[in-house]
Amino acid sequence: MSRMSSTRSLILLGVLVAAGALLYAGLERRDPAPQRLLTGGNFDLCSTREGDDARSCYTRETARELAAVSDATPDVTLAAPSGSGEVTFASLDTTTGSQPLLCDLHARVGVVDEQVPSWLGWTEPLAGASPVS
Amino acid sequence: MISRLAGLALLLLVLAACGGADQQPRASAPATTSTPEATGDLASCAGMVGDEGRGCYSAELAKIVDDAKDPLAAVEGITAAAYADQSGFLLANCHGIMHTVAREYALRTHLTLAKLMDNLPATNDPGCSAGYAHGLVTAVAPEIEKAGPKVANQLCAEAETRYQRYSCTHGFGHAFMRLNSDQIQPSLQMCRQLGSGAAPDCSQGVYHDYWFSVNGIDATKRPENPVTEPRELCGAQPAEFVRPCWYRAFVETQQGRRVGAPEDFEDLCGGLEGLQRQACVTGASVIGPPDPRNQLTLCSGLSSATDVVACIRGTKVQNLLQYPDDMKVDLIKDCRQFKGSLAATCYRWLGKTLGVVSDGKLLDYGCPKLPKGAPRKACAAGVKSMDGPLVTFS
Repeated sequence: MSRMSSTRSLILLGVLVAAGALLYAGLERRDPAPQRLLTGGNFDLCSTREGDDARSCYTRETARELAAVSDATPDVTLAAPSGSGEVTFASLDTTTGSQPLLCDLHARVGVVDEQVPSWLGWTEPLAGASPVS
Repeated sequence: MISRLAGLALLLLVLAACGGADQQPRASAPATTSTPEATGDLASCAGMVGDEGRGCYSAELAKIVDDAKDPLAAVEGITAAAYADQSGFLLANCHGIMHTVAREYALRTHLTLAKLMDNLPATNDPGCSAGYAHGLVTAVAPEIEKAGPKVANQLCAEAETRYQRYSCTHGFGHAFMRLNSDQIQPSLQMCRQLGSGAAPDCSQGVYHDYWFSVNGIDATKRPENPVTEPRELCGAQPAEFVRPCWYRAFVETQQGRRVGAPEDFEDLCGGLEGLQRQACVTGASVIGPPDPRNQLTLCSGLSSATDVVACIRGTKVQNLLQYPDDMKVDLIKDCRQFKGSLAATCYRWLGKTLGVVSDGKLLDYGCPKLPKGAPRKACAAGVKSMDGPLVTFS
């Protein structure tokens, strides 16, 4: 009698473990957001929105995605003069030595080349400053 | 009872282990060009460069745009993020990638010419957004051909800003190339049918698509014997398209090269004469310093007046699009470093091109800040001429 009972208990335990595993797998399939949030953006959040709401959502989520991508992409240090306010567009590619950068127009018109650093890397610190004239 | 419970347990375990029959691909699954199963996850493109990176981004961005209820908002959001991205890969490649994304989107949704303008981005961004616009226009190429040049011109005239009108015309160049299996001459003939006001800017799209085909980009077919030497290619073009040919040739072929000194112009353009030399110098100027102010300084160091004028025509005012208007004014003020007619030419040309990127607003916020007299008048004349063909612009 007690052997029968312990067998049942074991089987019930097995059912519970399997159900839990199934529930976890189902939740993971239904909502990939938690995993994505760890590594990047989640465009599902934006796909039903419209107008400015959608625009800002896509900007935010794309930025998150690109940040994740950048972790695996060679960085480039731009040698913008600190604090001078002077716009030189000078850049220094520390990862490829003397390899010159493509100009910003290349970037804008879509010239295709590998790992082209963004000339806009200095946008933030200089956007509000006028160049020395 | 025991056997039922055991069976249930077994079934649940099997289902849990397999993950069900309808499991979607994992967001983090790596995407490759050989197995383009897009999930809308740009992170899956991490570490990829060159064709592999472009293929991955194309597939993932297409998925993102396709899934969007408001595709234009998606494109504009992606554009904003691309500009802010420090790695720069997406921004650098976004124009070409968006060509493909938009063309495929338009074909899939059966976009018509009548609905084209409603689907074009309403921004002056020459990167992602312009590429998306060109891709849409390319997709409706057969309808454009049927509608004829008059309708085509009217279509572009509906665009909100001068830059968008330019971009629309440039897109026709791409479209005409696809209609003509990426053959330049019949495509230029179609550009001509748009009239002299649009033909040069249409041809910019033609030459752009030619280089797409040389590089096998955006579903183009590589020519059997592609001409990749600018002197040979542009030396064989009709006079009215020589400038756009050189402009695009240098942008596309001199990857990584910077023109930084007067002697560099000679390296690239030595031995050429007349229009060919002028067009070459303009193209060489385009691959000069990214800062347009530094470009002007470089131009002022050239000894020949015709070279200086040609060099000024290559000034990349587009690079100041994201910056305060004061910086655009500072640029045109730098025309003072030239003397006499060269200064007037500079004020006029920059008035025209800065007029394009500001949609004419330079006339109000910029020209009045120049010295009275010839500089101010030339600037105003330039802005007022912005509706004409731009020829050396993109």
